[in-house]
Amino acid sequence: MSPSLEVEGLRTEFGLRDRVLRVVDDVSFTVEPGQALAIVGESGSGKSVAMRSVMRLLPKTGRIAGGQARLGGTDLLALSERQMRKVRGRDIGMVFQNAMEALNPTLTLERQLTEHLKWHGICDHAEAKRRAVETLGDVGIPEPEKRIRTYPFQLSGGMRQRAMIAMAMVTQPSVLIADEPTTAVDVTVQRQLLDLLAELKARGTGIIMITHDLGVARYFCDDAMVMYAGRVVEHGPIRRLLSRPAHPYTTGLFESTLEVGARQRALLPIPGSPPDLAYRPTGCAFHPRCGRAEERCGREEQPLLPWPGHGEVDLLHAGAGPERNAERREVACWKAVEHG
Amino acid sequence: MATITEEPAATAGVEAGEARSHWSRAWARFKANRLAFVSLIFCGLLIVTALAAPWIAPYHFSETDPDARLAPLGTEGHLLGTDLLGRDIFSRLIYGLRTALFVAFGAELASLVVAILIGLSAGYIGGRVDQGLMGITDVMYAFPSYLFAIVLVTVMGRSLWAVMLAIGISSWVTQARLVRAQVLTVKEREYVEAARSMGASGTTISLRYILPNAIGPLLVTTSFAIPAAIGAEAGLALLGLGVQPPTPSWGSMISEGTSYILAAPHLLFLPAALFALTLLAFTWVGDGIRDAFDTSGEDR
Amino acid sequence: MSFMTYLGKRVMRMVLSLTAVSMITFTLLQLAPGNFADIQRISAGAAQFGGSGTEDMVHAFASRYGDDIPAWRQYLIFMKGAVTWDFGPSYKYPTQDVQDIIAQGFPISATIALIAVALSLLIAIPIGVYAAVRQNSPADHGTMFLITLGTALPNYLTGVILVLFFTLTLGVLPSSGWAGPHYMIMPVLALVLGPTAVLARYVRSSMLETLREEYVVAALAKGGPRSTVIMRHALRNSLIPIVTVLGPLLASLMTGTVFVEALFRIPGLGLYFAQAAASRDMPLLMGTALFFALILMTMNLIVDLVYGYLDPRIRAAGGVSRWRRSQKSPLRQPA
Repeated sequence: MSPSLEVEGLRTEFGLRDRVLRVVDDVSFTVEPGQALAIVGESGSGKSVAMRSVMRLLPKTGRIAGGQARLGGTDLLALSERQMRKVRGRDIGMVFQNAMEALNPTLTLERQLTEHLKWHGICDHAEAKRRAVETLGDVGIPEPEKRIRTYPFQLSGGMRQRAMIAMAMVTQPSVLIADEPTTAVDVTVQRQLLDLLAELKARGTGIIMITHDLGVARYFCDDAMVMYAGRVVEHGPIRRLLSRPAHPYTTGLFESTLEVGARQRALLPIPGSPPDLAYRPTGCAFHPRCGRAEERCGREEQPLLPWPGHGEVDLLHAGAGPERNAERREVACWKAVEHG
Repeated sequence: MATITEEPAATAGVEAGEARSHWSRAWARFKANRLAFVSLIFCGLLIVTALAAPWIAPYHFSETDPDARLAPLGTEGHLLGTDLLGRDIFSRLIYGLRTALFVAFGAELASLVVAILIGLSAGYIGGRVDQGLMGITDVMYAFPSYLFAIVLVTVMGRSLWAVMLAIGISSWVTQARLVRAQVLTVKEREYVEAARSMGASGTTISLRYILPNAIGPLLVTTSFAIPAAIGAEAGLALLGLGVQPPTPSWGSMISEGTSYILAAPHLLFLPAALFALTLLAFTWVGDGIRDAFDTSGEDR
Repeated sequence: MSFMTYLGKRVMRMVLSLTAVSMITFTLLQLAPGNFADIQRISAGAAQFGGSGTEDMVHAFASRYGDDIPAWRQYLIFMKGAVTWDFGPSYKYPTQDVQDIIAQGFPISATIALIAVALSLLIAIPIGVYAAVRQNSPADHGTMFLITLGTALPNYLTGVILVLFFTLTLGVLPSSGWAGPHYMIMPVLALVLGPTAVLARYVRSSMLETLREEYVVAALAKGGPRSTVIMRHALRNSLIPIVTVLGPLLASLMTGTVFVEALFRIPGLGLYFAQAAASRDMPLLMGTALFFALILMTMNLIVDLVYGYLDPRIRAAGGVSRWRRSQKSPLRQPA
């Protein structure tokens, strides 16, 4: 049985020349085997940084300021760099937005799909190559024995993206972090890639998908976590989140996303742009852009509270614990909490 | 991540304001760089000294003192000693500075003019003109600039002006390419299109819209070309192809100095030291200017 | 485009450029006031031949580059010889043909230059990589300072500093001449600093850029040891663009030897070139200029071919220039 990934109170800061920016602030979530979590938000909301924090692959100016990230009981944030290296690529795989950039242009697929099998001492080169060919076949690349000898630029965009997913899959990690894996490809390929990820999930891999597209997230994710300005504003089962978004930002995101095959409806962009973290608005960071904002929103910090309101609190607490509560939902907006 | 909301600059007035703040921001960044700022002051002093050479130097550069040949440092009346002919080293160093700066600034001005003319016309007119001009540029690029300068000096003689022109003509290639590249990027911008639609002529567009955008990068390359030209002047003189004696040049002073290295090492040491300091100061100013304009910051 | 077509095109362009260089040089030299005989008469070199002797000699060459035939025919005669590698006798050294002088002088210049290139590569790559990996550390700042020194100081000035140190202060190395391997030390050291600085700067910035590439992060995310990722994923890719600098670098070295040879009085081709310019030795000047241009263009061609070999994307595109035209900057492809 693969372990689950439990992140708790994650805080990540970036040191600028004269100040410190908190880019990820108190983020908690759990991904169990065979479950998929979507992390949703505009660019700059801290979702990618949160994932790089879990992988401990922050740029030099970044620093994890607090929290835990337990994989099967081990806190990844407390490991030495040497121990952490054994986790990366073996226990947690990573899929990037653009395979053109994430695959090394001057190395063959063979080299790139087999090197980490050897780094982790999983098998020798002959076996690694056999597995790489097999995985390439699994992700739907035709003639994998032939394609494995090519360079990334010799593949089409969709094939490249598959090859990159194969690169992450070849070690059979228990958790896969996918950072906007379908943004850079066109719609037909998007669907195929999502099917591929859904299949992985069905085989017991825990998947975290970073996306700004709720439609894509809905395709196979169980939970969704919405981030804004480094904080979680809403967290819960994705179906319920979509059928009845609680936070105005979630509503905005939902309304600004165009869904393929959805019935015609007006596309409503959220006015303005995400805040500069150096000048974080007081109170709720979203209030300057929120259509429902009141004076209180700019004054009070909004903690993440169970939702819907008081009625369900006891029920939720009863269900809290090691077992995942499928219906648990949280939102950081007093209006939603108080008025339902 | 640090997104600053910016209103699109629509009117010309706003654009001018932005331009001013762009320059003042660059200047602020330059001033913050202590090494560059000190170097700039030093370079300013050098330029003033060169301009005022006749008043600062105690002797004329060709004035000989037959009683004091190869005088050592600290000789009375010749603080920095004299050379083989009894000429005052201090005075010759100052006049050498004058030669170096005159040639370097003149050469850069000449090469800038050539570069801007060729780059602008190649980039703006395009087509055959571009191909032809860039063909010439490619040939020039394949021909090492020092060799070209040497050939030119052979042709034009060794007057101050000839050396200046030789260095200028042999060093415009990089800048011409830069101007052309700038033109090509700016040419398609909307405000240039707009100006054209309102009937602005090619010259107006080139001078008012395209050139100002190229000035930042040009300033950077020019600031590095100045020390290079100073080095070229001295190099030619070292080969015996520089400014005609007795006009002093640090290159010829170094060349003479190597002959008396054991008897009078200061003949070699003094011009070399002043030369090195000058080059470093100008290079640091160049570094400062580049960093001031480079908004991407710390990486190169 | 096949490789042979590409190569053929490049060679054709080289021939055209060489023709242009020869025409420009020839025309310029025709415009030059004063001829060899005048220069010899007024300069101290007159003692070498004696006034009338020089006159005779120039007269003797008239059959080859006569003043009595028009300039364009003189040019054609020169070029006819040049294509068969025969530049005719030098004015200044009338007993020697120009091609023989080249054959004597060039190996000396090339030896110094190549040793200098090899040394600067050996020094610059580790320094540049180290500075990039430890960006903004004291080691990085130290490297940057060295780079400034190297780019600011021309090689002959470095040579002077070396002379002041080794000959004057330590008294260990000869200040000039060419009579054994130890005469090579200071000239080579003088030449090394500049290219080292240029290369180290390129390696550093190229490495910094590559280290930010997503594929480096991806390799680290696969659990690669930092050193392995740097060597296999980053270094290799950041060295490819370095190859393009090697062309201009070799160019600056080849001409750079002119000054170092003059300073240390080494009988290399550069020294001959400078002397030919000073004494207006037309055949020698034309011959050496063409030879330098030929060497440089060949170097650039080789560098481009090597570049194509190193980067599979260029190999596939069928040549550097075609590939480059489709690129904004090397190693970064639009999504």
